Amino acid sequence: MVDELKILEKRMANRYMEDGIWDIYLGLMAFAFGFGIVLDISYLAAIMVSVGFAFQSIAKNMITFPRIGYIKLRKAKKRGMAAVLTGVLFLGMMIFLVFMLGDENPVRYFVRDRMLFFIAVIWGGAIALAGLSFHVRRYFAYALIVFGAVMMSEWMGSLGLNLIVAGLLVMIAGLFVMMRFIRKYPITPQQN
Amino acid sequence: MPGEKSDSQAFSLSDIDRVIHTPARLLIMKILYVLDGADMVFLKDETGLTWGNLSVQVKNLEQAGYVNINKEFVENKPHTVVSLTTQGRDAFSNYRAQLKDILR
Repeated sequence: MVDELKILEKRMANRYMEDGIWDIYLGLMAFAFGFGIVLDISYLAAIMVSVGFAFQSIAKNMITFPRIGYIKLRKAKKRGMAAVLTGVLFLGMMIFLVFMLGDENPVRYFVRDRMLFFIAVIWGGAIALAGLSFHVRRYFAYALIVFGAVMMSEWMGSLGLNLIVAGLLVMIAGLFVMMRFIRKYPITPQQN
Repeated sequence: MPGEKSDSQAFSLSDIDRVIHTPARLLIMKILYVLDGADMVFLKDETGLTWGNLSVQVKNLEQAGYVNINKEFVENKPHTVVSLTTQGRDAFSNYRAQLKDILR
């Protein structure tokens, strides 16, 4: 029965990712960074990511909650997700701190020479961890797409264009997931 | 020895929590056990109960002190959120342990 409860908990967390909203948001993030790089407007990504965050919250309220209701995940689950986010932020901070080291520091050269690899690992890793945390397999594919997009720019250049393409791919996949969700869970009259 | 086991099983069966021991309430308790709370829309969808039946079962659980019913606002929209109380969580854990004991 313990295992059955674990499966049920996984299913509950997974159900909230069936709406594709976070997929679209993940795609938008990659797209926004790519767009910002191509146009050379550094704050554009920040604006788009912030607007996207507000959009996902409104979309959950308009699309998800009326269809499958509202749940609060267990605190332990939330703590796990917070730990993942903290880990990603910590890694980002570490890279930043490495760049603050003196010019002669070999660690700085090591990181600088492999900068794209580190970005690809952190970004792709964060998406993969989110997939692991919510038990959503398609996130592993997204992680690979983003990882590939960043790594390909190591050989082909044009990081911005690669991120735009990767972002569009993830957003299109997210839209398909959302359409399936809307068809699967039509809004029924509520007594809430 | 086999006689002893059936005595203990008989004791466990009579001791079983009747509030939880109905399919509808057991299902509601099981769902709420793995969450910190869920609204009525979610519970209706997950349990497959009708609005009326769900309402009655949740009320029964509330009267037993196993669940809390709160009106919460999420993004300015009201949600009737049902969550297990500590007493409800303990009762469900005991129920699981008793069932495990009986089925062993």
